[in-house]
Amino acid sequence: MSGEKEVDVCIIGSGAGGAPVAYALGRSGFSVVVLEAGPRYNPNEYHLAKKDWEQYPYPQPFIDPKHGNKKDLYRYSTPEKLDPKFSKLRSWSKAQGYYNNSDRRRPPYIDRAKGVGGTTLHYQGEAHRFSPFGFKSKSSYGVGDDWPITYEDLETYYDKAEKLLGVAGMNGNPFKPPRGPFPNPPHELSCASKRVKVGFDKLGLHLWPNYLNITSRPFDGRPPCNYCNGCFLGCMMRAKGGMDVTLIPKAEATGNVEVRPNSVVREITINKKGEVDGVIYFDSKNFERRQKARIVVVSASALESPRLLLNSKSSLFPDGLANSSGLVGKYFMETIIYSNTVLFSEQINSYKGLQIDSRAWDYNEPRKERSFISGLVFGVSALDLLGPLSYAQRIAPGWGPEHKEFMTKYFGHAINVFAIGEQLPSEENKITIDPEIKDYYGIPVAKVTTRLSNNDLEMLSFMQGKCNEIVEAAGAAEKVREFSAYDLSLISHLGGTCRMGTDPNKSVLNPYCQSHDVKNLFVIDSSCFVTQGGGDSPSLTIHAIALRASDYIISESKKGNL
Amino acid sequence: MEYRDSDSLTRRKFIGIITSFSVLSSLFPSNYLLSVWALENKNLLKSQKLLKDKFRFFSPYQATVIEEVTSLIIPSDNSPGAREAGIVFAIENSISENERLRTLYQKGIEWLDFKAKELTGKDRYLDLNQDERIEILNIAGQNKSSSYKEANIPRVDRNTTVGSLFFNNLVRQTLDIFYTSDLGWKVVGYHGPPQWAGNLNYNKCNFK
Repeated sequence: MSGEKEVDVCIIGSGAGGAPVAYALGRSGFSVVVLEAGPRYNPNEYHLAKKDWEQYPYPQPFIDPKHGNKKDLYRYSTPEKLDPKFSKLRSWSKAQGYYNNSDRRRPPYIDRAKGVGGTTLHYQGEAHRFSPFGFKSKSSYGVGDDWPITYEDLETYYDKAEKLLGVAGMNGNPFKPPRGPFPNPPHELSCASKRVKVGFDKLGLHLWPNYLNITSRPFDGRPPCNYCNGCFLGCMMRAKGGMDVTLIPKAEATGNVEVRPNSVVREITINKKGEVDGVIYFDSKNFERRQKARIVVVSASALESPRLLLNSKSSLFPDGLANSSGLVGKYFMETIIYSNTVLFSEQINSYKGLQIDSRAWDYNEPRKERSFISGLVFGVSALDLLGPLSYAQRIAPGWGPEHKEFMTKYFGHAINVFAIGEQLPSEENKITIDPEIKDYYGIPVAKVTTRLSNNDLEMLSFMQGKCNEIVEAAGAAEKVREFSAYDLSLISHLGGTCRMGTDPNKSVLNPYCQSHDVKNLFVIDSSCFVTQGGGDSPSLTIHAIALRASDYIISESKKGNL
Repeated sequence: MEYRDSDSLTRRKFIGIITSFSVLSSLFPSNYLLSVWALENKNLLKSQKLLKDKFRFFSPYQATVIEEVTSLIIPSDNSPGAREAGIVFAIENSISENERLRTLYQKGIEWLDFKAKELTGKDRYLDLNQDERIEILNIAGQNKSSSYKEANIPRVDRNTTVGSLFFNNLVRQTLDIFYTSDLGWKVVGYHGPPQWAGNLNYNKCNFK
């Protein structure tokens, strides 16, 4: 096995968590190696300028071809039986019928990307702050758990992340705490959002310009967005501030950070003192290598980070590294989503603009008086209806005159009104290791177990009812599709598999993402989440937590504690 | 039955139509152009004839069947459809290097002929009138979940599964090709691809 020179810090993953850490530590003079499982992409090579751009939907090109198929990346437990009481939530489309005709929930489809930049390669640029109440779920509402940190602990780091990235937004949202000015002005609403806003307004809801890590004017060498609506297919403009075009280049520019793409970590190793001393990984030529490091930071996502810890067994940690609590992989939280696709009789050019340019936070704060206790946020988006081929394949009648008539009459007229809510943490929802199945590199894969609670189902039911009210009030001509987490498991936001806390028996990490068990091991991504912030998107919170943890690493290193 | 091929739509004529359309479209509003186009080509599309173009894989009969079926998938009405987009040529290109697909298309066309005989007593699919052709495609289209990637192509070409695999694949390919072409985009009023022009007018709305 080849070895490399010891570095101060080895970071596993270059996405929303790893990139800010690399940047902050590199600036402070730490020698850093970032091991990224996927390749480094060139935005100029994305497909959005090609005629057949719609034939390259996500996840291509962001899945390492060596993995071949997503099914090789993870396994899942037998999905739960569908509760017939909520059968009105079945996913369907007018053109294709029910998407899931079985009596069980469809196994998870987890939106992950491997590549320099991680999942920010394909995310839609949402840059939300969790609200203060999002950190106090247990004490405020009697459900879930409280975080060991508060909004105030993160506020300066939210500011810092927004300034680094050039987040665009508008002050005055009545459902968010007061804050300073945004680095960039908000994006004007698209025609589709303006049209749907009529419905929100009639119901007294507040559709607000979304907070986005997408430039609304030239910023830090990046051009302003030209509203192609292709954010999740990879931003060719570099207007979307994915980590690949923002913090990773900044980190590398310090001269202290080396990013190694196509480097798949198999195991984190420990020394006799019980401290981590490096990692074993496969390099781009599939040679097994060792990287020694004084500190190891795991930022591989709430799916891959616990997988790596659980696969890193030793006599000291027979149940997986940093797992004396037995909670590594536990409290997995998925995405509770409902979406309603409607047609408007007038042209709303819904394929033009930003992917999610508007949100309504009226129900972001949980309320005990509802039939469920969780927060959720509404939104307006073209989602997957980005061009003619998407319409033809997904919502138009299959073929013939009806198909043609639909396409000529309704292209640009369809929009999705949707909601995303938080799933309350449950110890039963978890990531474990499937001992039988190994990936391309011979590493046992993660097994996902996730079930919906009655609270989740009641929330989905509420989402459906409210979305229907909104589109009716907006005057939509026809509903043509609904999909929901009831029978499809579409997981884009995930978290909670190495939760932070102050009690080592009830958490994996301390409030700075440092392992309770191993002081020079950190897990810095959404694994540390205790709850999901009332439906807000997680990336900005991951950035803020990462910058805060980086300050801690710097100060503890100066004190000689690391 | 004999098929007249003296007025067949050759590749040259096809390219001529597309080129004319492209040039004219830069001069006139698209709705006007589409109406003119439909009027001029009414006679060309009226009679059944075999394609004369040289194909690498398809015989003239097979090519004509494919073109006729695709023209029912995206019909020509007051605007161009699959026929004018030259879908048959694109399909031939796409399957010429794929033996599995070539077999599927070959068997699928045999199935159409078999079904024509079974349902109407006529020898071949091209002998049928439009309603009869659509009836057979509806039979094939009933099993929507079939995909050539998911199932082996059966040896028995009289099984409806062959027809479903073939037809569902043909629908998918036709949509893929038509809606990633300039002509298809013009028909639905799309000005793509997304980059590099973007949509700087994204917030200019035509409604109050």
